[in-house]
Amino acid sequence: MHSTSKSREDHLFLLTTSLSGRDQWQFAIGVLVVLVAALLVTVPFASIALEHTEALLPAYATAVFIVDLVTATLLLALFSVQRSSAVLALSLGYLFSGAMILPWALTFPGVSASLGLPDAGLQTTAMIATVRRLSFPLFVLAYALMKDSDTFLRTPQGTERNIIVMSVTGVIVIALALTWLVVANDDALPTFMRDEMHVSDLWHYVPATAVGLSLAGLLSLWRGRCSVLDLWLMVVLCSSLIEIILLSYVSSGLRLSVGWWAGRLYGLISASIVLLVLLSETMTLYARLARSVLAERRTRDARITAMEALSASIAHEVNQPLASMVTNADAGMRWLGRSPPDLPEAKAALERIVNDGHRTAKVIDGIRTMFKKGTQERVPADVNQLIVETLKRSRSETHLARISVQTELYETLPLVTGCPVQLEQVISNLVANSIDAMTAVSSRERVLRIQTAPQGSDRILVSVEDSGSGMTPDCKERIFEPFFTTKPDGMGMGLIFCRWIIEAHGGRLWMMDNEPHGTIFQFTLPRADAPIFLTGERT
Amino acid sequence: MSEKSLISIVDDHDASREAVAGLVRSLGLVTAVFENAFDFLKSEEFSRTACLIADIRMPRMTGPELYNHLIATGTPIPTIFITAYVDERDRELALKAGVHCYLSKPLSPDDLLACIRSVISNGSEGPE
Repeated sequence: MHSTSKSREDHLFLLTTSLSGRDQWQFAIGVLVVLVAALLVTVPFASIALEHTEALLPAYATAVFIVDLVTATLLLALFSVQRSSAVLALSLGYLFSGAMILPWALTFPGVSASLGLPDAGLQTTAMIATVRRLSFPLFVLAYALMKDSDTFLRTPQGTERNIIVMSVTGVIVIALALTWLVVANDDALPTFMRDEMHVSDLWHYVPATAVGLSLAGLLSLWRGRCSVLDLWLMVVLCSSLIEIILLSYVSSGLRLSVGWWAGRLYGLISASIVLLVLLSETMTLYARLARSVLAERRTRDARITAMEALSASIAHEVNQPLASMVTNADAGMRWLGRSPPDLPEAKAALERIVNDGHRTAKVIDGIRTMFKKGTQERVPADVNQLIVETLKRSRSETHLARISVQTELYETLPLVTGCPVQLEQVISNLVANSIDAMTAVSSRERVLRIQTAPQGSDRILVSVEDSGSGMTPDCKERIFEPFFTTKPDGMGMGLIFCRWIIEAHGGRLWMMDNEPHGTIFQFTLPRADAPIFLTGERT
Repeated sequence: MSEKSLISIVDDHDASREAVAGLVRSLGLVTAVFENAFDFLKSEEFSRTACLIADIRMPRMTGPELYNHLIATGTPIPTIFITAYVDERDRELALKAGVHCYLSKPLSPDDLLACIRSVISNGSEGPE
């Protein structure tokens, strides 16, 4: 039970698990519209050749490389928290794509020469481009297929680091090996290029396959729950589709043309989208987290204030019987010091001291129970079950007092988070009070009614009603004061402990008159699944 | 003033009230005890009270409220405040308002006796 509520909380924090909202969809669609519009604007000029612009290629490749690398790093960080293999696959996709852009740019005709590198073969660059172009949609496809089955790592915690090191090394080794294979075996490569600028007919299978893979990726991202990351990956795939269209169809495969360069630009945009989303979402979530930490700190401060008030009140109130003991002892000594000593009065003073001593001991006992070890522990608790158990225990008392016990327990009452021992203490205290309040009633039926129900969307309400004699205005005012009691043997700490426990659980406890007779004690407790971000959009 | 002065004690805490009454009686004085100010004001002992010992913190009517009420109704009674929550500002205000003594619990028998003596001797000299 506990783990479900925990993973539900995690959903709030992670990009891969928080669902995309309506405004995000609108924004994504807006971005797509702009990209498509830019595509349409480019089309008429696509075939214009921009000669000698290959000098810009290393800069372009570096930009894509860095963007891919940062994205991969952030995704790996996400993986190390979430341990989802889907995220790992995606980050390796970015890493691989980034790793392959360098050999692509370095082997580009004209670039290698200008950098003083040996000239690569004619097909090398195209082959690397093919590998890059086809692998990225495959990685996205892998991500999309794995994400819904939630294949979280089964390996023990702490192994993420090893997994990351191994897979990153693996990807880099594969990228290096592929590059070496391609560069060293240019003769064996399929003929993608007719010459340095123009592609062959065979090349056309590459963009067609890439389009097919991208569409498959889009479809598998589309189905199922669509997280923020999924949504923006769809935009990435769309923009890389535009890139392919520009590179291979609109510019007719002519290298270094306007269409070709526009395609490159789309490639850069598509590479940056996930990075930007990761950064902005991270900042948003970070801000939200900071806000919740602040709220938590305020709650804790409030709790500390309540704690200080309680300890002050305990100190003062323990002081009260102690003061009485001292005063009684003084009186006793004076009675004994008289001639002749007044023994009956001295005895009376000593008896009062004994009573005061017992009272103090009871108070200290109560405080000890209250702060007993383990009572600060919080676990999911079923209040209905606690009520049933408490009533079971007090069955002989209610039976003896001829009290009819009625329960109206809400069947699917949400769980609360708390210390079951303390909550049970509250319930049994309230039940005991109700029973005591009714023992003097003889003219009407003695009814103890306990109700539970959800209240609002974030808490539950518990009512304990009796048909006793009710309370005088004086009692009502003082009922929650320490040491106030209407019972001859009561210590008057019961209700203040109840209130303290409920408030320490984030709830409220109060009393009101029952109609036509008696008293109702009610308390609320926050639900275990209550939203932790009241302002967050959890749909 | 009757030959045996009556000391009335108003305190909502049972244990404290009994203890103070016991101490006052051990000093050789006659006491009457009340759980709250209303019971005291209604009682027949009210008019015979030579000295009032009142707790400060009480529900419904506090010690200072009772004292002000006595002044306002023209029936002032020499008063001693007792409290477990000593506050120097309160003490100053109380003494300025004419309260005879402001004592903290636990009471020191000597202080209490001195206080009551000063009240009663003033009263017997009849300055009013």
